[in-house]
Amino acid sequence: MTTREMIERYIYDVARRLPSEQREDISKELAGLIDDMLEERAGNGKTEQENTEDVLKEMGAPYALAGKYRGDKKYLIGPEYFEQYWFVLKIVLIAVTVGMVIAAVVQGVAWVLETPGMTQAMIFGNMASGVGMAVANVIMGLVQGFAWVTIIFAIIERCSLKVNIKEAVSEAWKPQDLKDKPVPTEKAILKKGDSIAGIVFTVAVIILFNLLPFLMGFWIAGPDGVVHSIPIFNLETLKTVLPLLNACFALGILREALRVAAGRHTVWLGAATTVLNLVAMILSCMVFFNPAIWNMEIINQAAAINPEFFTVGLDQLNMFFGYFTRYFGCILIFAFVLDSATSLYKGIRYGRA
Amino acid sequence: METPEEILNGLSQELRRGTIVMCVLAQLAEPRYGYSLVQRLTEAGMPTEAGTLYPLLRRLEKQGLLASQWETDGAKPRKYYAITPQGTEVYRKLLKQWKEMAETIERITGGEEQ
Repeated sequence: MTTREMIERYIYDVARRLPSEQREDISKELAGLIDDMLEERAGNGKTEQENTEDVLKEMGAPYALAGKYRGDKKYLIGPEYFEQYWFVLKIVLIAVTVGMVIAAVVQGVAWVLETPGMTQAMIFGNMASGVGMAVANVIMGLVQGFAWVTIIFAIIERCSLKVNIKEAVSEAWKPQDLKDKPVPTEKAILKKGDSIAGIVFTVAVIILFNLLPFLMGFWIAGPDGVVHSIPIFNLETLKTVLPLLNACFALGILREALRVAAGRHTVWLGAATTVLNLVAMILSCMVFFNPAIWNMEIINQAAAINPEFFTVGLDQLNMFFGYFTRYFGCILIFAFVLDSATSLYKGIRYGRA
Repeated sequence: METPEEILNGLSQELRRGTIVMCVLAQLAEPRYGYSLVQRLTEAGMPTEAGTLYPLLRRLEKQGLLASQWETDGAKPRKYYAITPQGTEVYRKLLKQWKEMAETIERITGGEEQ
């Protein structure tokens, strides 16, 4: 490699990391600079090779020099977003851990109940492998959760220009803004813990409906002592309405996230809660008022496994289950309306100064 | 843990970062090319690496404080930078603020010299 080649390669290695429209200009400028620096060193007793190496060393690694030209952000998530990033990350990691652990426990229980005639050694062996799997799943889940949250926030950070423009368009903050933000009284404060518990619970339910729907049902031991599970839902139909249910759960998580973000009851939050609840309510009514979603044969199937299980008449039980399926949606409506009304009432009652 | 020396290094680097722009603007009343500016700053006791100065010149040009022009008449083509009217305006105000700040610091530290 001649000194000339060395310089050419150095300049190329810098330029290739720069936006194409700046490459030529910066290359020419760097060539001139290196030339000047060499000229200054000429006749200092060192060889041309040594001088060239000294000059390039002084200018620094090509990637570092190119970085200075680009004026890169030297961080993934800057101080502006770090606090929010950290907060979301904590929630996601906690939710993943709790969700995965619940899923593992439920699966373990299901396995014990479904496998007849186990010896103690088998139980311990399987428990050990189950715990191992659960730990592996939790770690994988944590890594994934961390990666997604970080990627999303890194993108937000890169797009911060757009976000900041929004801020620039709206008025700058002024002390007068505090007029509408009294320090909340004790009753107006929404506890973060409640919302986080809600989110964690919702995640667990999502896992239950999406991955383990067969666990929701009757657990009945037959005459031989083997435990069978009879699902309360028609699993085939349930699969087709999963998108609706998941949308419902997502709305619930969004609602809790809004509560965490607001930190207190406000009229605005009450209104947002009501809108979200309304949509979720319509979706869940579409799911649970549909008779096909329920396993109407549940009583008969249970009776087929262990006829002695029921002391009451089958007709009566069938009728009761029929009522339950018909009015289950009403329970949900009641819950949604109650939550919305509470949120609205507290928003109006405590949301103002 | 940072040693006191490292802390001092970081602080003085921050100080320099703020003042180097002023030094560059001061030298560019007449057009100069990058390396001659490096030499001038070094002679004046403000040694600056070319790898720092060249990107800085481009940034200041992008901000409209400097204007540049390629001179291809001489033995080798060189890019000359000179201060713009806008740059002169910024430089004047910056220098004024610097002097005021220097006075203030002088007052606050009671002119101690150790």
